[in-house]
Amino acid sequence: MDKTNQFFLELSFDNLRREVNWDSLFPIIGLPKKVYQRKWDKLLFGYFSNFDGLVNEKEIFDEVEKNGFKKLTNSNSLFLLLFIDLISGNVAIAVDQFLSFSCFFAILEDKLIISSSFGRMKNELKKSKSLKTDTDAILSYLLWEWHNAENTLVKQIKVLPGGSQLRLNLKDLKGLQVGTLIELNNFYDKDEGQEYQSMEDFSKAWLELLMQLVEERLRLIPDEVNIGCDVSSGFDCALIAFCLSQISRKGRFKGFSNYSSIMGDENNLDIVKRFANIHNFPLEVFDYTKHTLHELNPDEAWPSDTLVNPFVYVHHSQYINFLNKNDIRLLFTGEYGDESYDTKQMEILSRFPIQRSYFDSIASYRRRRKQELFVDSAKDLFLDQTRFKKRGFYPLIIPSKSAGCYLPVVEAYSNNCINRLNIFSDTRLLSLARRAPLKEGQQSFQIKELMMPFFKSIMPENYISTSNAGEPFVQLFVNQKNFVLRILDHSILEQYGLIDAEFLKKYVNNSNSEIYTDKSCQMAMLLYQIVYLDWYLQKNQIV
Amino acid sequence: MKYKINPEAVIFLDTDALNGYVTVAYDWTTDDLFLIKPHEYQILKMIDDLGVATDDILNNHLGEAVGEEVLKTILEEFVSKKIVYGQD
Repeated sequence: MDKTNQFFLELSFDNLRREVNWDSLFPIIGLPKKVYQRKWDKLLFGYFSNFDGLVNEKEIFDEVEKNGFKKLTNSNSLFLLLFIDLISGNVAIAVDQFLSFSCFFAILEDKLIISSSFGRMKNELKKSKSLKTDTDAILSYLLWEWHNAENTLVKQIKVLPGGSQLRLNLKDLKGLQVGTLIELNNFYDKDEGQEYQSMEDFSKAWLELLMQLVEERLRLIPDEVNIGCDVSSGFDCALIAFCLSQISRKGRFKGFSNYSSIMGDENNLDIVKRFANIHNFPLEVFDYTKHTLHELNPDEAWPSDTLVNPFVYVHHSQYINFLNKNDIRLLFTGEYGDESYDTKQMEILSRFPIQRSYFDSIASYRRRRKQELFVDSAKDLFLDQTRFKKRGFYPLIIPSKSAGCYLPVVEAYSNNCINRLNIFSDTRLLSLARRAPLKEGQQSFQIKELMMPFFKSIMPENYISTSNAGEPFVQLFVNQKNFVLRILDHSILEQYGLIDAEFLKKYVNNSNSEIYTDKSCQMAMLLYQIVYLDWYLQKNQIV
Repeated sequence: MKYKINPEAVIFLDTDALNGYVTVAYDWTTDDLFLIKPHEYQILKMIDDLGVATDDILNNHLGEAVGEEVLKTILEEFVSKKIVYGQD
């Protein structure tokens, strides 16, 4: 195994002529497998693993050469692949529909640079250009509205959207084109299968399929790769851990569970320990209470080189370090499993991603009381239709609410040599979720709750938590108030006409404000997001 | 009756044509997306292009193609879902 999952490539017409060892630029990550195939002057390399048998791994060169990446994209495959014609300079790069890779790209002089690391891209560009913000990305971030798109916070850095491909000829970099390869009709028109008469039958089918999906991945992982699995007192991660415990040899994987004492009923370690005991797998637990209290100076603790996402810092960063100390390279997870059960309006949401983003933004701006933290005139910026009309069409079959969290999380784990396997994204499971036998009055968001009684023998004590994991966000304002005030003193977001820094400073200084009194922690989470972004822009001199 | 688009319930995109003039509107009364079929799209687009449209104008332009009764029913539904504002 390599010591990093990061890759960085410079592609120019000139360096196609040189004997570059392309293969060495991609580290081994365990799963998906590395690919390097060459026929005459054509080269296919990157990562690829298929799970549903729709694409034969041995035939991908011929498939890509003849038909492009479409078949691969519309299968249950994890991949990031480059196909290069060394003579003509034609390049095609594609990523899977599950957002399992972050693939950033930018044009820099006569080169196309691509990397899995946003920080690496940022630092390369910074050498010769000042970094500029992407307004749409900033506004979307502040509204927690995520969409599958090319733009990032830095205007010059783009990301390959899930299920899309980039094409260009290296002799003409201006001709770069990105487009989706996802065929929604391919999924929705063929989405048929057995109907279930009872929730008990459906639950049985759910578990059987989940077991199969875990097995399909497990058997492709080389023996020398250490496997971990998230486990909690909730439902989704525990179910994946149960599947692993049933089909892997003893000791093949370890369960991992993190816990903070300030986070209500988010995770109950006693239940997790008893669960691991029943199913006979080793468990490592990690208490990150100290981290959630925000005792460290954020100026030194917050990462300035990854994509901006406070949840990654608050809830993942210490856990990633812990996994790393345990030498884990592949992590099975059931995180964001919730969204896979909720198939309400799934097809409409898939087919109209731009419209959906627009309506979500309006709802988000209004309902979560975000408008109270922004100046009145910012409303026109947030709700202006123009920025939505400029977006490319990048639909997804996987629920975008869960996908919204993927890329920053993928990058954070990947930078630390860990690849996560999100079983709940498999389209066969999404297809099954659409056939849950709901009775009149029942809604798809209740499916998990309705299934739980049938898993009582597997998970006797697991429960759906009521915590929203928001408590640590309050602690920033309790323990790092001076830092927050300092960031607001030099606010870039105020210069953009989005916030009134003086108003927010008063809000932070008022011990009766909702930052400290609101039990849902919503206002603290919102303001944390603002302060974090402002700090990031200041630190990286992005204007 | 005069009709005006609720800009927070509909967004027209250049790519609508590629989708066969099928889109979605937001039904603010139920918080659900509401599928707009091509003949409904035609009505909404006309109101949007005109800024404000009256029953007479819509009947004159679309009455024959859509059917006057159908047009009336659709407009009532749009108003009830707050996709368009209606004013006497």
